[in-house]
Amino acid sequence: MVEKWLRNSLLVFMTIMVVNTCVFTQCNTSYNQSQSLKIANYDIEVHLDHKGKSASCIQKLNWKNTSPDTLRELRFYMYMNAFKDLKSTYLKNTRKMFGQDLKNRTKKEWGHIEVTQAVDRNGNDLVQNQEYIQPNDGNALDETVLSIPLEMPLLPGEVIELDMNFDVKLPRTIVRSGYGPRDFFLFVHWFPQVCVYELKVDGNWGWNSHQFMPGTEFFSDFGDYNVEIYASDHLVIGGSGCKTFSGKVLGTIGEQLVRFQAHDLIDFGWVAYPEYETYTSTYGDTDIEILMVPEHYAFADRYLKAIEQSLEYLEKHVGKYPYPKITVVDPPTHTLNSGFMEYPMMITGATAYGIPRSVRSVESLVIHEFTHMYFMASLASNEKEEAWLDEGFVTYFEDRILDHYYGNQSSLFDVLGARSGNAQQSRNEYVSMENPNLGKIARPGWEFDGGFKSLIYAKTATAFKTMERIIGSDIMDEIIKTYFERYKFTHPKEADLRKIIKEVLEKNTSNFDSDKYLNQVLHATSSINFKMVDINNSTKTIEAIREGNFEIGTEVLIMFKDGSSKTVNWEGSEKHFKHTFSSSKEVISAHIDPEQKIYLDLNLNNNSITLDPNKKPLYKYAAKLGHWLQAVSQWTSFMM
Amino acid sequence: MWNKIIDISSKATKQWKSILLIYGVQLVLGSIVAVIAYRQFNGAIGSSLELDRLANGFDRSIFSDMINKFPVIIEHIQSRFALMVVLFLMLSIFLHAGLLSNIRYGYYSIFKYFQNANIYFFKFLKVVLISLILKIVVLAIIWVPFFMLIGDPLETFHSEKTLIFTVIGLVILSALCLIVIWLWSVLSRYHIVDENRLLVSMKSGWRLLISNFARYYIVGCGLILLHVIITWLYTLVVDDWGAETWFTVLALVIMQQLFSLIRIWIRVFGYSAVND
Ligand SMILES: [Zn+2]
Repeated sequence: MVEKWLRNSLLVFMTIMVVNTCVFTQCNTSYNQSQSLKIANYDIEVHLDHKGKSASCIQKLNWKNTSPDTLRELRFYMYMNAFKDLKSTYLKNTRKMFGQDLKNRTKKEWGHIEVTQAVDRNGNDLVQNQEYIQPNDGNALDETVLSIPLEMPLLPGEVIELDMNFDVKLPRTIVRSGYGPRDFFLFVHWFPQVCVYELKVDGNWGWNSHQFMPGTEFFSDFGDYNVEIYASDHLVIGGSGCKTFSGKVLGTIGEQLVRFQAHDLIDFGWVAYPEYETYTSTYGDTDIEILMVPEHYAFADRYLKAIEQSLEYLEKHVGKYPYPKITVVDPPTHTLNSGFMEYPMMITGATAYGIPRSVRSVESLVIHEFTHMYFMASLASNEKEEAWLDEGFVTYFEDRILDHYYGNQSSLFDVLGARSGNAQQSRNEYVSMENPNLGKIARPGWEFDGGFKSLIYAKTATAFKTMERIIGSDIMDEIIKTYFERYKFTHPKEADLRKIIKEVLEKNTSNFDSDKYLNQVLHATSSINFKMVDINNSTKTIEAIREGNFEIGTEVLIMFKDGSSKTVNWEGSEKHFKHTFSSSKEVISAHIDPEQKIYLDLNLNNNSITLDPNKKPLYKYAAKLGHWLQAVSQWTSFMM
Repeated sequence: MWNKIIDISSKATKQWKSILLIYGVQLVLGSIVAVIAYRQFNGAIGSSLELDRLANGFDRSIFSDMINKFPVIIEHIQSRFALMVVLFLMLSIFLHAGLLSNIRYGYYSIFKYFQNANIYFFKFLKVVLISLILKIVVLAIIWVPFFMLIGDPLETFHSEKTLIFTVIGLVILSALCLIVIWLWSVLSRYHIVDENRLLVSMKSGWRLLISNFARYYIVGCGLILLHVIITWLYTLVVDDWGAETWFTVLALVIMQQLFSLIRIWIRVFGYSAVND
């Protein structure tokens, strides 16, 4: 307590001493500051050497043992070491990434992190005994997880405080973290961060401390962050959390201090770039800060509108935005590989000069990353082991939000008569896979050998869409709202989600078998393709088949020539559907799943047969192709 | 100025038989592609109820499901499309021979069209080949250094905005150069009709172009601009029409063909303007 008071007093004193001109940007005070267990808390003082692309940092860690175990070590993610060379587990099978050849990198272009001091309350420096461990693959050359043995055992419920020093050097951007030309810096996965000591499925507690493995992102505990960045004042700095202080450092030439404060985050990222222009706005209780490179200034309103739409939609359909602020970072095109990513309270977008408004790649990306503030930052499931839990929900909501505001046939793009909805794009990403049965969704990221995005993002989102269409959007919303309310600021797992789904379905007396459905979606490799095979008016039969082993019931709509119709149920377990109609009427068409509820169906075109097809659109599109030939011939004959 | 435009317009319109002939050739080639496309689409989704959905407007899932299931459809249509374009380019040398000689002589008959097309075909072919080589050389001079010097474009330019404007600038520069060569080739062909000697005609064509460069250049650029406007109008107004009824399909086809005719008329107008 005394120490905390001393520390705070020191901070205030430092602030008065070092800063002459300053700007305060405060987040909304109505924001609830104690939503999580606050297990891992960090005060970090950063001294950025922008010329050396590195920073030396002082970190005060405050970590609480919430387990019933007595701990004798702390484990830290040291993920910047994944970019040390090509021997790390993350890069060892990679020679090219984002189109860059990594083989010929100079030493200067690689990054690393090193803890140089870790002093406990009794003054013991624990770094003497620190060692890198490799729980996943035993690759001794991988230094992405650090074990620091404790001098004094940490009892259940006890808090450990460590005074740490660490040096971090950024690589030239490979993927997200790194530096780019013209003093661009993105600091993510940049500090020694404590891994998660958790209750395992077998009932025992243990470290969840994966090395930086391909196909993995975040898993860490919630806590408070106070981050102070001393850097050259030509840089514009933004980051997770609220910027509480920004000003020049007295007695220095060209040095500034920027201070951030954030509560209940699982991580902290920050960015610096001299050319950023800052746009700010507020939506409800949420402050929005957008850092734009000058040539993209025209996109600031598109970023802003996408954030506002996301906030409006998600607050209505999921829950109140759990933070007071969001920072949107627009990466310069020369370091575009730092974009397309989410960090708690901060997202990186991506755009390029000249993208027309009718191509909503910017909106779709911003909406996706912002939705991660719910599914990742707040519902902090293990993205390494169960990436579908956040990416699946995020893509599902990306589809919903885009389609809601821009129409389900044209929300992604609408150019020269060619259109696509966002959900259509997600579904197509799954159904156009060379092998939709490539592998199951529910497995750790590093076990994927291709198909990661198509399965984790697209198939999961399409499966949620299918579930929504079967059980109804009201019940779906109730499930998600309950899930969010009950598990926000924790680490929910698949079992937690399933529990909520069953509870809400039961409450609404729905007979949807969610366990069977989710087992097939997540833990099997089965797919589904309904196919209408034949209408035979002489034998009075209709025949259809279900290709693939995914069992799900549906209905078949039979239309008769006299305009009447009949709906027949098709049991999910039956692969073959044969219906004999006794009436004297003639069948004109038969349609499996006429409302397209089963959006996972690999081919929707073959779900129906009609004996009186509407050929008009075929003529239209054939005529269009013919006309485009005439046009192209005429243009190109200029060359003759 | 307006009188001149009206005068050239009426001359172009008087060439309606030639216009119809060129249009007819394009229509035949376009119809071949249309029939191929119809058969392919019909074979893939011709008995599906999804066609009703498609009748109300473009539906991406119907097309992507069709292409996923039958990827060869697109390859097939693409290859036939390319073949037909190449075929038209070959034929257009002959078609231009008839058209340009008719315009030069002030003939309007289809008989003269074929007669002169026969006479001048090979000489015109040589002009076309020479101008094609020139066009390729000019394009190479503009673009090869660009691709050689640029390296990693974003390291070189720092911002994609500079890159985009550089590319746009080079595209415009290429178009401006191509227009000069095109004008020269048309004027040379007119001189061939007068003098019947290839090199002399090309020299005369060049002299004529230089002597009255601004006027010819405005015609050349105007022609390109009109084509762009026509295409923009078409995509804005017509291209997205639905297929709710047979009437809308028919109206779409009629409008498409009107646009095709207008394009050819504009070209004939341009040739007449160069001749004047
Ligand atoms: Zn994501």
